[in-house]
Amino acid sequence: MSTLVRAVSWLVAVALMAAAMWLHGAKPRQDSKLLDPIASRGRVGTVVGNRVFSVQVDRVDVAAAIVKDDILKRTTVPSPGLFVIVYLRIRSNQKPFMPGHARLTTRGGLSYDESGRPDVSGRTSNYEPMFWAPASYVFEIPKDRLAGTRLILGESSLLNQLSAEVDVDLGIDARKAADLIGRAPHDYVLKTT
Amino acid sequence: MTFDPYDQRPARSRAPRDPYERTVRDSYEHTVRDPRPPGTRDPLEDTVPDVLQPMGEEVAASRAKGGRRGRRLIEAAALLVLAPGLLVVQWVDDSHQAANMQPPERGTTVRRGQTGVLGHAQWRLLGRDTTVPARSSTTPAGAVHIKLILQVRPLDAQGVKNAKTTGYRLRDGAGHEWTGVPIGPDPVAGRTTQMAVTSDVPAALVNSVLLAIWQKSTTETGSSLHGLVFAH
Repeated sequence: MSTLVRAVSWLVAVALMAAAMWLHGAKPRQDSKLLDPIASRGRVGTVVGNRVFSVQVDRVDVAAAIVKDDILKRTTVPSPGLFVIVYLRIRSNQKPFMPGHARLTTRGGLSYDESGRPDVSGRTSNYEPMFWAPASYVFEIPKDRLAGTRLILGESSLLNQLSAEVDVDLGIDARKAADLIGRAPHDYVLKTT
Repeated sequence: MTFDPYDQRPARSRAPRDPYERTVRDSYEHTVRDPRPPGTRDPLEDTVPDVLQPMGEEVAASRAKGGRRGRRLIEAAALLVLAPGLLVVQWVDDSHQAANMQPPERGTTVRRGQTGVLGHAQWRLLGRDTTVPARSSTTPAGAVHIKLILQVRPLDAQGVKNAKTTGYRLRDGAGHEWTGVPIGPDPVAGRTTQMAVTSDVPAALVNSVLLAIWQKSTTETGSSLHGLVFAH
């Protein structure tokens, strides 16, 4: 009996130690998941908002190359994949608001930040309560990742735990993605208004 | 003939012994084996068995059980104290972090035409400049350009320094806030300087928004926002 009790005690001790090790590894992941930004979901063309800000995506363009006209020359910026240009309007709902953490997510779970190319940057500013103002974001993704893309936009603070976020379905299915890729221009000019 | 050096006597003739048996005599042997006859011993040296020592098995088991129960009670009490204590410590730590990230606001309302003191400087709102155009090329649709005239008089050099880091907002009663842009010369200690604060606010709220100015102060214990709200 004593040997049985001792064996059971050892098994319980080993199980508890294994559980402690698992919890030690799982807790940070769980904590970060609990503190994820709180997303409001919507579709292209509709107003998606929360108590901090609202967003309406007006149109989505796709380009194989973007041209930029300077005073002396015209610069062409080609992409090995695709440029996805998202035009939207943003309104603050409370205080002056600066958007941030913008990214494009795809069906495969991959997430793309804004294109880091200095010549083809988007346009954002400070947004005030009760006034809609235009904005644009330029992303660069592989061609086979266009279908099912979603725009995610949050607040600009570095630590964005539990902050407000919008998640907008850009409405690009497989058929529309193939159509957009086939018609992607090589001389796209970013719109400024 | 052999000679035992410890015996000091000639050894008797006998068969050769195992050499390992030929150990020396223990010189302290008398302390181990009391040579005295039993009747001549010191009575104080004769001890009696402790009547409490030879416990029965039931008594020992009962005592062990009582000890385990006491230990369990102490452990449970420690758990009851430590578990809430850990939660309280975590909560206090999180509260301090949150307070530093978003410091508490301490505002004072200044009556119309009165002077308020903030950050070693006197502040006074003179009113709205109605001569400026209500709209400009950058004014959003539905907005009105507003310009408020403000006087500041730093009381000392610290007041000048604080005045340069002041934040300006326009507020309505529903909690909305719009950015105020200060325009004017740098303030000088001991002198009254006139400046303007401009902003674009909804046309419907142009007569109800209030000017709020804020300064952030940081101490060893944390940071806080102190401000003035001008009624007009």
